[in-house]
Amino acid sequence: MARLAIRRGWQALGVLIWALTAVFFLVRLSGDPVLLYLPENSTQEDVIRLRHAFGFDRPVWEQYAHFLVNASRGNFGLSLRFVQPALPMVLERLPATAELTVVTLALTILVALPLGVIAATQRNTWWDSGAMVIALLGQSIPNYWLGIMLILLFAVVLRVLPAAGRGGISSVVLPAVTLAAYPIARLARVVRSELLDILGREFVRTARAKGISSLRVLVRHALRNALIPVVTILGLDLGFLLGGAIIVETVFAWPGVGSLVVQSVNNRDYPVVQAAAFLMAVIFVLTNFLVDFLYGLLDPRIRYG
Amino acid sequence: MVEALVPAAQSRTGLPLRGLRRRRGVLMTLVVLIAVVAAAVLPQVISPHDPYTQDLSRRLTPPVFIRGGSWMHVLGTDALGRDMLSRVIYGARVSLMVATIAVIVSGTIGVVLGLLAGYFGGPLDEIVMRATEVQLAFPFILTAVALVSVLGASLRNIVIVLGVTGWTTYARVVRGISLSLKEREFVEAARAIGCSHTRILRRYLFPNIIGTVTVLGTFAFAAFIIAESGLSYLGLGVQPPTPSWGVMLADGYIYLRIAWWVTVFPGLVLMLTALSINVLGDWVRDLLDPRLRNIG
Repeated sequence: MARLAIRRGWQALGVLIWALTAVFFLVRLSGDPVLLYLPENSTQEDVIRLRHAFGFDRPVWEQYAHFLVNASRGNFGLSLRFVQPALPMVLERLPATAELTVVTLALTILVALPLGVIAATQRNTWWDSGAMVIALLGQSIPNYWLGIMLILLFAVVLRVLPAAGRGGISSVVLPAVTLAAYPIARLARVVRSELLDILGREFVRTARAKGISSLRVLVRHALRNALIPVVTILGLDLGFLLGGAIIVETVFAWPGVGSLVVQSVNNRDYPVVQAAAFLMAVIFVLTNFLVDFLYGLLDPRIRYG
Repeated sequence: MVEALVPAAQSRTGLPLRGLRRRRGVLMTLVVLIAVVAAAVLPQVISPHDPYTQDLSRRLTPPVFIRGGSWMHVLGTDALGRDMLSRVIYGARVSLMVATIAVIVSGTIGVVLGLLAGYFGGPLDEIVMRATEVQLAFPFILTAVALVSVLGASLRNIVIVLGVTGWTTYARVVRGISLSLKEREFVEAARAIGCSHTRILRRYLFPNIIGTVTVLGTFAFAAFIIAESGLSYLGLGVQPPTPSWGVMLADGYIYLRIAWWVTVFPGLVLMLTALSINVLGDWVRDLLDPRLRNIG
């Protein structure tokens, strides 16, 4: 276990260093990064001054080494617009995004598991078709549009929930439902197909033959074995949620990392975009690092060598 | 003789239509898709008005089934008095074009890299797999938003961005299949009679992954349509006044309280299109490669 932890730890670290590299080269893709940082009507003198101030006139490898050293200390430079350290600005927005993500994940599990179980146990009935139609809809609906439609229905027409902003439990409902639509659809489909596979196996038949109640067979014997793919999907969904948050937070004016990214992109505030992108990568890599260990807890047969 | 040992490939290339009758959903979605493709190919024939003509005296006219609406503008007009139906029809062109090119670009990159990585292994495999991991660490939309903001928002750039961010799924799946295929007898036999690597990759491995790639491509197509509209919604995709479903949605949002139709119709068409493609994808998957049931 410890050996695996170390090996996976190195791998995760490697991914993060490459992620930093990608973030570094992002602003250099356009050719001259100075032009990205300056307003359109700047003079040639401004360009030269800023190029020197940011060190863009030094060799690229030197800038890169400098960037890596600073980034490892959590220093992504100053926000160009607000002239304060970029990373703390992003971290300040993190609790809002975390709240949205946790509620969305909880909602996903609470809805998708029953949906998948019903579809699998009532296979080829109206229940099954209904659940799968819901899943298909969730997969096909653009989440920002769903958000707008929910605002139209619950905030404009019915006036029962707030349309935007953060504050109190009621404000998280619409963004979370919006964000959860796709993960619910994906997870429900996975649960259904995994369960269908497992319910046909011998050990399930044996359990039934022993006279165990069908609920117990389902929960103790079948569902437990379906948990590994479920956890895998949830780990990958986190990446989707952080990305989806970019659009959904903008729709609902939710003060999280996602809406900060969009604002910063519009302000051409690249240090903030870089810091936010790196933070999202760190969260994703860490979560999936933990998911790997969860496997061992869920299924003792998995031994790490 | 050796060719005869490649069993699955031939039967997968033909598209048997059996079972289509039992799946009424698929037929319905085919009708929707034919309509969308027709709108994309021949918008000038189908659309009742020019999508760019403004008429401020008729701005925010409601659709025909609401009081104040008329048959002149069946789906109403937007804030500049442009005909919604015509703009929705022209919007199909942008969506389908972006998604088609992006699927071809990302599919080509992913399939080539995945095939080579799985077949040759070694450092190439290592590099390709690390690259997919790094890219997976960044949410898809984040990568797209950041890249478009640096490259500049335009139709061409959005295609490039979607194309180069979408290759990872193909690469990982194709690598897995080519890894297992290269150990099979028919590949060994091909090697034994002296086929070159290029020939083995082209004639023996590639035909066996076409089915899988088609399935992945179908789901990616729906995802790209949604992604394009999302980026356009954020102002990072297709630029106004070009009619794109995402741009129309974003425009309409301000008038949500007084003119819901400007936001509702483009989204509805967008959802219907994505839904149809996903249903079609399910069907194609069951037909070509049931192993992929957890993807999409």
